[in-house]
Amino acid sequence: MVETQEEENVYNWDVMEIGHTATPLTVEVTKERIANYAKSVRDDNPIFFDEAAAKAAGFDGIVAPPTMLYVYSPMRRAEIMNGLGYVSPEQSKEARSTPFAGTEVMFQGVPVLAGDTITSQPAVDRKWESSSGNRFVSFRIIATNQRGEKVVEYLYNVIWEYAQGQKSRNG
Amino acid sequence: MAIQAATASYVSIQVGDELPSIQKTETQETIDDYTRLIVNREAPAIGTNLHTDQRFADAGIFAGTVNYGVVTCSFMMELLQKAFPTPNLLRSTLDMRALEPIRSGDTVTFTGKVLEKREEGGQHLVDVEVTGTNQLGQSVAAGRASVPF
Repeated sequence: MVETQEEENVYNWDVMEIGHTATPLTVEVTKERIANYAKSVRDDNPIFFDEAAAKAAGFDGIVAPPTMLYVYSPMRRAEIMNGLGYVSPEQSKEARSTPFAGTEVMFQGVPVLAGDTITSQPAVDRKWESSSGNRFVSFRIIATNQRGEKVVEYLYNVIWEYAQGQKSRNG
Repeated sequence: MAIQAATASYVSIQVGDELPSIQKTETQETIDDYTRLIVNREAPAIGTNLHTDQRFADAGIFAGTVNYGVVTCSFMMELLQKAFPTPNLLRSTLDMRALEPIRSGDTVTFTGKVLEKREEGGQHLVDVEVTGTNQLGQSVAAGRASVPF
């Protein structure tokens, strides 16, 4: 239970600890999911749709677009917070956003192919305050395939809170 | 001439070389389309967000809906794939920062340039910068990739 009728328990800067994590998530990467992702980001590279084209490019089958990592190994910040008994700022009654600030991706040389099963786990990696007073949080996500090979590791940075005077109510 | 993935090699690439450019236009429909890829898993969190919840987004810091930052990252990767072989990119690193929101109706041109060639840990690396610029001339995203050869 993450909330009572009188008061909700919103995850905040003070309770946030490095290493807070969610349960692992396993996602099957299918041809259909790869095609849907590629269409969504409007990338028509045939190696994402056509087996022959993927093989001609040196892969064993249809390959997932590199940045599909955000779909098959998502950051899942809300699940981290919910698992600890809190609601996320976005889920709270006085909802506010924690906008994307940037990402750092470290590919591991292991392509993700149609038919692979990817398991990932996110964790709070770092929190810091800029000189202007804005607060940032970095989540680290590590993803492995069904053979236990790490396929990608990435950081997903958000603006947790703007300094006073720099945001509107929901900012 | 811009670097092409089919012919790119560590020897052929020179500092200052440009990457092919691409243009991407976001609409509320394309933003909603991406949401459908993830909504099944995070429905509670997706309910209130800067991407599809117009009223919430209008009252927020960007005063309107914006695209997903990770989609902007995917545009940068698509640009890199035009310049470098995908197997090389699957061993690369990419560090990307969001600078300005990309809104429905925005058209962003992504360009890139080779900054440096170097050797590290027995690998040849090509460092490139990638920039996204909207129709108003504003830089909306900046990235730096290191591609091994």
